[in-house]
Amino acid sequence: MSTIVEQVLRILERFFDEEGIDRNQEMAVAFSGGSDSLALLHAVSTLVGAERVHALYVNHHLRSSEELSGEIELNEHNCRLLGVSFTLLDLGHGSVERALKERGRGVEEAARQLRYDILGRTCRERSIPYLLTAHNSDDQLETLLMRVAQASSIASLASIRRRRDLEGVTVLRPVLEVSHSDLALYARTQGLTWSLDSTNDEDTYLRNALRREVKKPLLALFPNARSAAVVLGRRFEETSRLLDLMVEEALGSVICDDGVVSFTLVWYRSLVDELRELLLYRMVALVSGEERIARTIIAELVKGIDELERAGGGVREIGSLRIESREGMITLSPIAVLWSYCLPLDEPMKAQRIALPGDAEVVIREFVEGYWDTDALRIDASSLKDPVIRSAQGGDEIALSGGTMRVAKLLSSMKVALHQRGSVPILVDRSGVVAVFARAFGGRDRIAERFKAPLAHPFTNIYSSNRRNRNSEI
Amino acid sequence: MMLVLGLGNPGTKYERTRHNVGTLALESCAAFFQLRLKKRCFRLYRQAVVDGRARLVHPLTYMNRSGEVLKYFEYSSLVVLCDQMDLPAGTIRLRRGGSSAGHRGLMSLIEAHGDGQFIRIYIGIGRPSDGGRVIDHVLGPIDDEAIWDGIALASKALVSLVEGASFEEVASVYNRRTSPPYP
Repeated sequence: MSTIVEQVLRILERFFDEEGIDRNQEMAVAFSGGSDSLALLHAVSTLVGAERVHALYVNHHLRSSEELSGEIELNEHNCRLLGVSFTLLDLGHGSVERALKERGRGVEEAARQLRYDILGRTCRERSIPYLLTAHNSDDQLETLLMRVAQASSIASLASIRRRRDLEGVTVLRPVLEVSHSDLALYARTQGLTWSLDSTNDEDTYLRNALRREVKKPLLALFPNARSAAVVLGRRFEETSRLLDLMVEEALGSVICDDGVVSFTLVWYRSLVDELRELLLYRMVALVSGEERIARTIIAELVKGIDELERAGGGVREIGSLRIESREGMITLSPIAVLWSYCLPLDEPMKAQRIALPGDAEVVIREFVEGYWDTDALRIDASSLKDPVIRSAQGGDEIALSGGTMRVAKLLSSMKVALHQRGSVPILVDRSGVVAVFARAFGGRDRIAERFKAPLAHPFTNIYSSNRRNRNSEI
Repeated sequence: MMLVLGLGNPGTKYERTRHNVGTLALESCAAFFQLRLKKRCFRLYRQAVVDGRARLVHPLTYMNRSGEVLKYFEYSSLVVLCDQMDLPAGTIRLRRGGSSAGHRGLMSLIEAHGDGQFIRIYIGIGRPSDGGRVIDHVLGPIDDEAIWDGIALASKALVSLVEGASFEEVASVYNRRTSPPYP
């Protein structure tokens, strides 16, 4: 066996031992078909036996169908050669673009999110406990560089972690210490042919540009930067774990009750600054239910608490967060839902404006050819049974073309502020939620799949939502 | 500190319209001092501060709510740059005090300020020709080169005020210099 193969297998073996991985369990490999994942697939199947390994390939439909069909064919061939099962997971046409529109965080992020969703779901369905990805030291270095440039938190600077939980599935990165070129060398040594992603050369993707413009010159100056990034990532991970432990311990002094957080000012002042900030992040996350908290919110919160302390008590509102200071206690709570309502829609086909509490309105128009607002919904109003317009509630679900989704999650993905979500109007009939009107709250209006009216249907009406305008441009 | 408001509507849709000449003149003044108007998170305005002497502010509210930003600032004097239909394009006028003359931005400012006693730099945009609607005129794109001249003049007048010249000095220069020629 050649040196590189021995080396990679040794690293893999050590990784499994250190992480306590049961080699008799089934393992899935996120298989893109490139040199990294192909080398990983070969190494894992050598180590644990090909019959236990499953290659999962995700088709994002981001490249030409010509390129994709060639790639899929080659991947299937490679899997046959290695004796591992091959599964093609299809995200469907336009799914990444749709996710991008809803989440708005860039193509790579949207594709990554969808990829992990489908990979996790597949593993859970097949009771596969481990999902292996071929992240390597080059990926680690690139991620670290990006996060440094974005002034990320300590937890984010840990970059790619060796293992993480994906809703019950353990994601493992066993070749994190191996470089991309070594993995390619491994695959070449084994006489394997891998597929090449044409988008790897496109500078429109941030990572590709970084690879060329930053990483290359950096490696010329510091040839060991890859392994340094791995070590640094691990140190940050340890530091972040330590901080987590400290935060957990400190959170013991915080009263947390049904999304409302309270603590004493004396305790708050006794904390060291760095820990105080971390705690505030955690507390705001608890109150708001959001995962990502903007640094500006924390800064405003610190300022707000200081001001309240100086004033000897009172109330401040920051975004959707309410801070109350009374008798030495600080209470953080979400700003209460202002409006909840239920209005029967007696004439769903009649053109009308339905004014709603909180400055919003739902507008119904008769459809005319050439109607200009492409974001408005066309609904076959004649088929609605006992429709009502009401505010969204906790258990509401809407059946969209991509599957059923909780309205609360849909509104969260549209970044509708937490305190406004309960005021968003929805159209409901006997069959369930027909449409969600989030446009007046910074999101989009969405319609249930079954109510999408055929274009030539004569009875369609236009439904849209607005915020009643109190502004004047002149 | 002197507070200078350049009135205009927010967003690219209105960027180069006649109603936004106040903002354009303000930006031109900021550029003279090698500054850019910047917006911070959650703020209703863009601003630049000239050496602790003047704060240049573009309210990001719609025109009729321009006065809402005043509550965020402490100021010793207030200067407002805005469009004026009764002045021909290419001319400017400096005035201290007066009514809003139907300008909703000034109306809002007078309400928020408490009175109309502040300096205004009016930038002429002329009236709509051939009986066109006022709204289409003021929200229409600047298609007359003379209006750009007016913006440049207003910017220069503002630079003089910021640099410490008195209102009377600046008014005497610019109110005369930009008067339309006699027939």
